[in-house]
Amino acid sequence: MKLMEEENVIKDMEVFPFSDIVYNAPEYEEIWKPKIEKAGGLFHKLEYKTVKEKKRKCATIHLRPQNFDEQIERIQEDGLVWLPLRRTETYSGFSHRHYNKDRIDMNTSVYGVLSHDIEYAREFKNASERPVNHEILAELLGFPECCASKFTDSFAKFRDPLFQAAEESGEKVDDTTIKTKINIGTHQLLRYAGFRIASHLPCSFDCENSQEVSKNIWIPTAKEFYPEEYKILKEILMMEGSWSVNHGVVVVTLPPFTVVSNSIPTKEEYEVIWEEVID
Amino acid sequence: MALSLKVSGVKCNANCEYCYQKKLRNKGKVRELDVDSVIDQVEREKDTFNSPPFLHGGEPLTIPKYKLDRILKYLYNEFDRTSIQTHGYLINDEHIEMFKKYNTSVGVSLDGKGEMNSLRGVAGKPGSEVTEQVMYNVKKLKDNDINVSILAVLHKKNALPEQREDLKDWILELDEIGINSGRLNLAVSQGQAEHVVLTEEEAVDIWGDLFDFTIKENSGMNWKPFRDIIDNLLGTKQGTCVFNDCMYYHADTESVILPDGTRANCLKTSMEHGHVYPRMEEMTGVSNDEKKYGGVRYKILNQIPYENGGCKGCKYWNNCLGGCPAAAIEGDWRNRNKYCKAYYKLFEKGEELLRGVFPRVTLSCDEEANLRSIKASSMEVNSLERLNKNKKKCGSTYKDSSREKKQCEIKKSPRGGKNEHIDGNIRHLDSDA
Repeated sequence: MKLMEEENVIKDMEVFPFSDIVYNAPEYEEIWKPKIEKAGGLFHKLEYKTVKEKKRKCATIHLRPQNFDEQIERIQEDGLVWLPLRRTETYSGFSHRHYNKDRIDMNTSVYGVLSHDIEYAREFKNASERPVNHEILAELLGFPECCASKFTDSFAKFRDPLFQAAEESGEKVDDTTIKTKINIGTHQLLRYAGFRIASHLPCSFDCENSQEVSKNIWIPTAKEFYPEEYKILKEILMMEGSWSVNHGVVVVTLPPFTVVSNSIPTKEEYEVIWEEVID
Repeated sequence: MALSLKVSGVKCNANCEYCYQKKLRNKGKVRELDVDSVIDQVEREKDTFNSPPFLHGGEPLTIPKYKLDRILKYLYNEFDRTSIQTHGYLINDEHIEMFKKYNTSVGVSLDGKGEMNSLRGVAGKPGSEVTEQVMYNVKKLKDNDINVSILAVLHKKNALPEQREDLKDWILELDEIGINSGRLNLAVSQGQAEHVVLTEEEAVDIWGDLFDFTIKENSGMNWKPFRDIIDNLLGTKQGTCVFNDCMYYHADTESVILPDGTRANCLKTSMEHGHVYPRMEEMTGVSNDEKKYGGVRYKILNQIPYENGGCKGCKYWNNCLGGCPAAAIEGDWRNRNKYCKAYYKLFEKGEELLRGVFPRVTLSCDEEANLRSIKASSMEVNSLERLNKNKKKCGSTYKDSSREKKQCEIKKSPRGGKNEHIDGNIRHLDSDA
């Protein structure tokens, strides 16, 4: 039996997207603010770059009205293609799902698929139509099969299934707490602030397939093209910390700062503790 | 909003068992007092606060007297009055002279006489001697015409039924020497003092009893939170910070200046992790509508069922807003306050009292109160509007039928202007100077 079941989640409750970073002491702001700004943007650069370098078939990116012309130009110049999938409401912070919109305005972005091959992009677009074929999407995005399968199974029940990944890799401390080791390539517990290497949610924090994907695709791309940002990101990801969710709000605590965002509306607090991150 | 000057940092001569600064004292960075930096920072911020900054600690009287004099002098010159919150044991004649000179209101932290105050110890001193000395100092302050209020914390040494009469006698004794105001707070522990804090049922009992004692049975007393409850229900003030929408990571209802001049937020939020959250420039003007810095609490708590630690369906949601997030269940600000039932009891008693006197009163917990925001203090309807003698059929304190009520014209309060700030002078829970 799993520690977190569907009955432990409050029904019909959703916390709108937001994401926040708070420093744990006044003096940490000066040290960490510039680092956070640098490392927080790396993941989005890697999403794009791994496709441009043909290390993955597809990625998903949003085009925003504020700079769509520049984004289109860049995609064309890089020899890539992009197909629209849906119009979504713009939000600040981190979101677990899309908020569909019919009309386009300045608060609408267009979510779409990026590829180096129009056929892959078309395949992705077709697989995105309902009923969504998650297996095809995962393959095109370069996600391990085991993780895609687990995600498909757990996402409907738990919108932010990180506790579920910890249950697979860690040890139970009490009925609501798991202690686990994490691999840097599977580390998704800080993704609300943009701190992660790979894009997919692992089935387990010790998932070997996920580690392989990170080692072969994401980490080499980061090291080659963005070494400085990667160094800072790694410094952040290697820290010990705790991830705690309660009532739809997740609080991730690292020694110098705390990340707060929206998550699963559990009836009580559930916590993941990690004291070690394996490089 | 008040500005708290932690002039001694967390340094303290006392060793109060339930002190919320314990974790910070054990692991926090030691900050030395730099008077110039503190004054410079007050100078930068003084216009943003609606009451004079107050001195706090740790124990503010542990700092050298010449530094204390400099800070008080500056504050007196700026605000014509000053205030300080102290354990009271270190007060001597020189301090009293300073307090007279600088028009200082003194809040003394004292939990009662004799054994009732035994949790507020001073290392190496018998508890009885400490308490006697503090009471002696309190009387001496009053003899010197210094304004004194008491901040008492209620716990298992002074608030159980068997101690009740002694506690009430002490309150009456204070009244006799001219001290009729202060706070009777519940001790809160996030692990540091579980053995002395009251159970929720004990808290309901003591607060319910003291509400009657200070509001109904004795006139002229101004003890909080009981007075806050009345103000809150009438929509005149939200009251003490605990009834406000306080953002856990931006708890600026007690904004702090640390001894080295650094800006920070309420140190009660350090109780859980020992963190001192900064007050960053970008936080200025942020409201809980943006969900930032813990403001999301006020978007979620009223959706969470009571049995899961929330406030869903609570009649007094706008009055209480889940209580102080630093005193939440399990120390988790995403839950409601751990003494919910005690607060509820007070609101119930306050409502009963007000409706008993004014059956036609409109309270901030009423649906027709027309709150402009989630706060009780943003009530648009004047509570006593129906008592206006110039209004047809409305000039009575007792005509309380729903039939009559519907005929009354409810006029919008003139204070309902959009930009008007009506929160009043919110004071913080751990100061009553």
